[in-house]
Amino acid sequence: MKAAIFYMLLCIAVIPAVFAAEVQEYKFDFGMPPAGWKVPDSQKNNLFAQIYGAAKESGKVCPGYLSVHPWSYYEVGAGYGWVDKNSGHGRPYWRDDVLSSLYYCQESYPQYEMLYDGICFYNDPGNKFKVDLPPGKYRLQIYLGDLNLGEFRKDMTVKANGKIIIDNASTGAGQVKAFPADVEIKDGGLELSFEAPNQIAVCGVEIAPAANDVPLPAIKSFPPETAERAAIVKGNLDRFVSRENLTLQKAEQDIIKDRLFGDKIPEHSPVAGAADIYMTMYGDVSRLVSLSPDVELDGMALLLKKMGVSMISVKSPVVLNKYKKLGLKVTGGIHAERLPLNAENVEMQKLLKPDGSFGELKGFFSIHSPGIQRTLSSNYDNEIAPIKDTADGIFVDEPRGMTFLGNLLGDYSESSKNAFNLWCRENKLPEYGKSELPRPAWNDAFYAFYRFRLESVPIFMRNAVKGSCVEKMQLYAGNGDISPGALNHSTFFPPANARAGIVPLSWVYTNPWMAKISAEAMKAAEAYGHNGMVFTRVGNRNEAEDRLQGLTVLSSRCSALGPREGHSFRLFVEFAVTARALANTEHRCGLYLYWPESLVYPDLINWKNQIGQDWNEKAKSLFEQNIDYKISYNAKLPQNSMLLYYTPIPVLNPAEMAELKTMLAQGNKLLYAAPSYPVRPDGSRYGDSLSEIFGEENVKNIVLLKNYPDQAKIRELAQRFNVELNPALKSDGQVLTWRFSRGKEEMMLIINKSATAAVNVELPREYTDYFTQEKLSGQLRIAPGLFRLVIIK
Amino acid sequence: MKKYCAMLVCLSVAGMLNAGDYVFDFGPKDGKKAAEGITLVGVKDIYSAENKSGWEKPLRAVAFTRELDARVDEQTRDGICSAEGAKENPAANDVTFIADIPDGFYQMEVAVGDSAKGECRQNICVDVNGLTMIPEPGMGGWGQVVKKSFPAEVKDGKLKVRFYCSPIKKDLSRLSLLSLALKQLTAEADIKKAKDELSKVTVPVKEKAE
Repeated sequence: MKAAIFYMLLCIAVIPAVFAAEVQEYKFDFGMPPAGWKVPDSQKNNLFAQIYGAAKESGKVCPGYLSVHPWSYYEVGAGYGWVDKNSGHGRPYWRDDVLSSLYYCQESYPQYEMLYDGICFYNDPGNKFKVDLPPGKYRLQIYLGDLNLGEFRKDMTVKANGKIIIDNASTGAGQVKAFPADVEIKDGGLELSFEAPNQIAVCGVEIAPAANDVPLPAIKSFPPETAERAAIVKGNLDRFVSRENLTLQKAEQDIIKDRLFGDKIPEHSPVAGAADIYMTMYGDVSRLVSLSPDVELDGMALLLKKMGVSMISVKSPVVLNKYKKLGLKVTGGIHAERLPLNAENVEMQKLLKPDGSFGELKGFFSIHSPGIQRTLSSNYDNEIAPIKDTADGIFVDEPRGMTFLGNLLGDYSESSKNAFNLWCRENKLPEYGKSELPRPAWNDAFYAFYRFRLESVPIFMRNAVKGSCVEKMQLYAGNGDISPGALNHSTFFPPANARAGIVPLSWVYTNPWMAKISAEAMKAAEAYGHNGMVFTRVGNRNEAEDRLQGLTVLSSRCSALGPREGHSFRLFVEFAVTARALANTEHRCGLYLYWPESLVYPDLINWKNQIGQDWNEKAKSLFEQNIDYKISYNAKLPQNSMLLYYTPIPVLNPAEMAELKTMLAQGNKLLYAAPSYPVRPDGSRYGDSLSEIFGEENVKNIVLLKNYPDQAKIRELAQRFNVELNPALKSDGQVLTWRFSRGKEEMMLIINKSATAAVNVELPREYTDYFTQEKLSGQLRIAPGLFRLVIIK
Repeated sequence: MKKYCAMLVCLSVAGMLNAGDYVFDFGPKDGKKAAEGITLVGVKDIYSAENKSGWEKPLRAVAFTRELDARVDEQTRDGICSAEGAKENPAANDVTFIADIPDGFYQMEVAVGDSAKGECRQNICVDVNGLTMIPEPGMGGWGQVVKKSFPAEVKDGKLKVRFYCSPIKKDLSRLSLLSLALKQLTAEADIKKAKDELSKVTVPVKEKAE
């Protein structure tokens, strides 16, 4: 009996393995776990397992193939899997996003679902993949590489039972190769290991018995490395453009359905911009075209124009030249933030620590180092040469100045000292440049260093382009979310850039209220020579928030990044139409937020960006309360203006103080919301009362604000002083009401801030819809997240 | 008693308490007897001409002691702490201490905080007779006692010390006051130095705001 039971158990245990061992052909599709996959208990704490277990994207398994993902562990009976069950094996990736591969819309291709995804291994020889196979000769096809046009792989090695079958193989960007290999298996099956010093990407493995005397086929490339590729590129672009044209049509239909502009899309001149820096679509077009330089871009250019794109920043010279010929304004792009690979003799930033010692951070070079300036100048010369006669300008991405990371203050390097010395001489302050660089303290020497830091970005950029072909070109230099809060971190001060002939830009990442600050800060740079631009992102969050952010920026005549797909096409068209409608208008608002040069000087002494952030919070509150504002870096304002000065530690240099007094003497109003009286940069007081500080005769034009911001108080003051402010319309929800004028025509943009609820706005009298000429009176209903532009005069 | 001795040591670089020196010890008063020259100040001590020192208004605060906590430094074992944090109740974290003190220049030392681990008492600012001596972002920290010394000028026989939490950084801010000590300055050089320092101190706006 016992023997019978033993025999039965033996059968249960062995028979599946015997049957499995009978299998001589396998096709494995490496990639994401399939739909419904559950994280195994042993991997509950594995972050990647959790991510992929919860991912909405599930691996599409190629018909006829078996799914292999990082947690496909070997089990007796299953016949294949990873030997080590204690970890995941590599990370899955997938490439079916827009334009990322030549095959992106070729799902009819027989092996598409095997090729589009895979598993990437990172130099881990412990990745052993076991397959049960009976003894014999087998032919393997191993698919290595990545279809993403930005990803190439090199030095990839595959071993079968410890013997190298693929040795240091490489694949180009956007390429998968099928590597054939014959292996002889005696017993114990096949064990594959995937190794590379960097990354090895595996899409699939095919195993079949090898027929005698059939020679190994050649390595096969996907896509083919032949003239066929040009046809694929053209086909892809055609498919892409027609698909996106359909998206655009759908977007336009949606806009018409909502009657945003009436029964049709009005003519919209190209007023908005687009850049490939962050937007996948344009970057991938560049990669695609690099594979087939002869391909035409007429369809793409037409699509962009239809959407309202006027200027596009493209890094590929081929694409840039093509777009230029097709009538688009184009800019090239350069980086200024990262330490270039070819940099030599570069001095790093010397950062002052709180304990008085110095340190360095990896990659943080001194922007004043002659070595970095020479390197960048030479690099720019090479990069820009192919487009120097075509490009309308050059975008400089993240030209950071001298670091301030809360506890680390730069730059105390020798190069910085030399540059400061020169700056002091040029600014007639030679006494501060002679000795050691000033450390944070309330004195004029450190204030000079603070001012030097504010100027450091244009100093850096001008030196970095010197002698290169970029020197004579228009520079557009940008940083993200520019506000006082970010000023000390990156030292990107818009007036300093504008004064140096550089157009200041801001990429807006976060919120509509931050977009407002950035947009007004850029607009205010106009007083210094250049009206800066703000690029908002569309298509990254929910539609209503993106629209609100874009409209916020348009009020200052700025631009938006290009669309990607879906609702962002619609937003882009809306912005283009609205921007045209608001072109050449004057922004009607008499309230200015004061952003003097000294505003965040105390930040560098004891605040770690808190002063700037606090200022941001106050500006946010104005936005939330529908108090429109402009920003001014000085006190030279038109008549009937109010200058709102807020900072927790008010510092004004003597020139700023004199300017304020002049402004007050001329009758403009100062709304003083700081908790204490202003001091000089050396900490000394101007006086102990308003009359001592600003003059007895000027006190009548100063209002001390206790609770700033208080909507009712600011509106009351505006009325008292006959200062123009945006109207506060009665409504059953939150709206923004911004005013503009063009000649005798006055308009108001009314925006429903809610993404979920319609708002009913009470119109005080009859208005006319700008686009439909429809007469509006009584209650105006605005759908969630939408807006109306009305003529009020 | 040990607390007072330690306080005297840190206060008086020049020696023991003199006629022009003052020490105010904030904290519980029950059953305690102050050493000579030291004034105990409890939560309920309101200033009056008769009392000569005390709080301007009743406090919404509690007295605390850390004497049972072996980790606590004996110097700063007790104090007065606001009943609520600055975020919940800003008014409870804005108090003024008044004392009748002869006119003149003094070196003042304030001690704030709480040495108990895990207790956060930060962003404490100090104004003395209308001058902001500890400005934004204030002093304090987690589980620590912080002392700061600065000059002060007394005019009209009254010292007014306002303790308040930073209006910006309210999170985790709460007043916790331990002691206040004054040492009169008599040397010419010391007085000159005090005047220089006081000329560079910010002044809260005193005109009426709208």
